[in-house]
Amino acid sequence: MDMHSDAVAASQVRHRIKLPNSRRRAIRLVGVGRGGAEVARVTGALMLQEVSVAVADPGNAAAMVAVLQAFSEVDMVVVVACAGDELSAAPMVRQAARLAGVLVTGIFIQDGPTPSTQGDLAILRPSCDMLVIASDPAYVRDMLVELGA
Amino acid sequence: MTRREQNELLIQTGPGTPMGDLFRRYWIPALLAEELPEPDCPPVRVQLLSERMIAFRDSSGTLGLMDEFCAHRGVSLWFGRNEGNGLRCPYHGWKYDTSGQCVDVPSEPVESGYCKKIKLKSYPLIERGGVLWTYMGPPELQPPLPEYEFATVGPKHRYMSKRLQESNYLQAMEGGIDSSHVSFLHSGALERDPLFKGAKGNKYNLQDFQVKFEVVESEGGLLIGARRNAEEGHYYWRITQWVMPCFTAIPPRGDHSIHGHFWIPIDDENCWAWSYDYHPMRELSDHEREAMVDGKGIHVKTIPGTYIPLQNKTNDYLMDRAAQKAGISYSGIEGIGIQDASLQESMGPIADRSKENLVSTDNGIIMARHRLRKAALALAKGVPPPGVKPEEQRVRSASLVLPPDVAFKDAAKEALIAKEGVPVTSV
Repeated sequence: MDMHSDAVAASQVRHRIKLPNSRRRAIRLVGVGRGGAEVARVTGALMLQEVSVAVADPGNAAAMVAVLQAFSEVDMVVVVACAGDELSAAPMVRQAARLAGVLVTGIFIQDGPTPSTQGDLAILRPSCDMLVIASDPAYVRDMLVELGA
Repeated sequence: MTRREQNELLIQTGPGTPMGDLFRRYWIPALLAEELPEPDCPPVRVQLLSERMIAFRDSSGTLGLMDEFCAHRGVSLWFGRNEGNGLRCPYHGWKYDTSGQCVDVPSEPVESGYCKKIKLKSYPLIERGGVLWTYMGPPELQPPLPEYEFATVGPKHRYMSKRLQESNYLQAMEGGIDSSHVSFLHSGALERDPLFKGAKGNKYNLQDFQVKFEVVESEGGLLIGARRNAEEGHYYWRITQWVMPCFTAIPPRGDHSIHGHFWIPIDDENCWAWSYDYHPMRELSDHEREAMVDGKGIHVKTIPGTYIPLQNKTNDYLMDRAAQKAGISYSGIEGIGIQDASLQESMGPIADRSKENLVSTDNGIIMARHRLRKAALALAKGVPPPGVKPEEQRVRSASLVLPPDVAFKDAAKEALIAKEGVPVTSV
């Protein structure tokens, strides 16, 4: 047995160094579909630190390219969509994020059961490294804050 | 990172705090039934949610849980005499029944009725599934009795243990819903631990380290799905249940028993880690029970006569650097429960969440904080808390193989409900 007299003191953290242990991480929040875009817009209005907001609109090629190219400047990509949204942009987001070497967290807002979920998830699941199905759009803000925003 | 005021809301469970009010709306485990084994047995000190109480079983077998201190001079009633259907303070003989009502003040004339004016705060204490449960909230809002499946199976089908953890409940509980640490901290247990090894599903764990997570809200809490690749493009899913405020069910392995935890605040710097194992379809074997007593699976060995782990911070959890170096155990600490406790206690009694750097795989933890915070704030506005309804507690964890394009919550819907006589869905 490896016993130290200061074992108890060593396991406390009273004198933890009070300096930052990380740099700010930039997060790109991408709204996909009409509902997702609205959640992204509302979240963007909160002016969270290091969070930039974009809407993925496959119908606007130039804007879409700009959204995807910006991934090289961020540390995390968060995609938000709502039940019933048109999700064809999600795989593009994933592909661009992979090229940029960033993980994609998906948040799917579903307040109550809706029949379209199955198809939505078939698109979203392979488009995300981590998927959260939440009932409350406020989760987007809470998650961003917990992730350092 | 969690900001200071948000953190305080989550971790403080004393009287009058929002999270304390939330915890007080549930039946919570107070003691193992074995701690009050017979009428007139020694009373037991209990501290829950930063309130000190005394528990006893009176001469007729009735259970009582009340303020620890005599109303006369504040003596601890742990020193009391449990006799004649009451607990008598040894200082001046004041006696209390299981409701906390003072029934005798020897120095006062009986006819004065003085003792009727003295009553200690008390809470209900009921026995269910080998556990003594209490409800510390408003009596008029007392919920239905606990319906977790482990508490409803026969005594030979289950095994319960508890251990002291010297940390806030939240950092302990967050370990219980953080599936991503299992592949590191607990690696090795799948092949060696008698309560895990041999299950077919283990091979998926050991073959695919690129685990993907999905977090889905349930009525009473959360479902945390971890998926790994299985045969023919299918996914092997391990689905953990979290029921508010602090119950977890870990996905099963093969025909091994199901297990999980309760994380119950003692005060803001200590908690009880309750661990249960049960099998709804068969009795636990002697071999399984011996392994659990011996600290295998999620249980731990404790110092005899206490619920303090034998491996604890005063002995550096019996860290074995040679085992760590040789890869026998990833952390060098023996036993799943103590592997968790050692690291969670090392964060300090209350983790400094302002220094965390959470990542996307921590979304189970993030969502649990979100739901706890939301429920505590909603409760203050009169919204009933989630997780108190019997159907929200009659849940199971599950492990199963599913096609790639289905929502695990829907495809495993039946598997996630506890039904008497129905086997657990487990690979």
